[in-house]
Amino acid sequence: MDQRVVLKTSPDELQQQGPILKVLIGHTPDELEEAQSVGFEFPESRPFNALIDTGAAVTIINPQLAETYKLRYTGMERITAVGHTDKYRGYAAAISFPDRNLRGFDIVRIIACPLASPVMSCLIGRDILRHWELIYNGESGAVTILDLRR
Amino acid sequence: MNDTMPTDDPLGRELSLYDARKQEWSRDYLNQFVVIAGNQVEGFHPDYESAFKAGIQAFGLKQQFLIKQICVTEPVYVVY
Repeated sequence: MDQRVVLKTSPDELQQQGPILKVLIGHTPDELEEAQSVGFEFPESRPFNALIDTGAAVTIINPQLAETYKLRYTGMERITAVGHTDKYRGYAAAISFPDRNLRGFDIVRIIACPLASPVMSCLIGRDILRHWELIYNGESGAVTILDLRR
Repeated sequence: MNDTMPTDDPLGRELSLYDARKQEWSRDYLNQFVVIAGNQVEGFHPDYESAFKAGIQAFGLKQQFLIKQICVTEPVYVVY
């Protein structure tokens, strides 16, 4: 099925903020199934803004969110941001796109690294973008996403 | 940055095991993902997704496990 989604905003807003979409980050289906079998409940996650960032090698979220949603820590990763390299926690998570007809990702490793922006809490990095085709139309303010997974 | 780099890594034991075996594993499992909980090595997997599934299946929700890609040089991911 051709999953083509258009993010539409004004050319000025697209230039100012970049392509932003709502994401829901939560636990993987395997964790949810395991939790259900032992009667455990995870905190309910809420949608927040994510920036599609071709400059990010991996997907990043604010550390507070990883803690709040009790995501599963799977090891440290080295990240270079703003010219500085440090180790940050990596978590396993599922990512979905609640207000878009866009296929989610059941298991993604995301890195908890502080983000300065007040308008978004996640960078969608090239680990996710490797499955998408992106068309950025600055003149119309539209960004088109096509999921290439079969 | 201290809040993102805990001095007491809950997977420190698993990392020590990885460091001790890394050279040996690099020969046979280069670029694969190893799953380790405590002193137990669950196995080697072609990607993070299958490693995570195997980890949950083997250790459940309560036991922590490390997923580590076996690399000669540790990768550094850049965010511009």
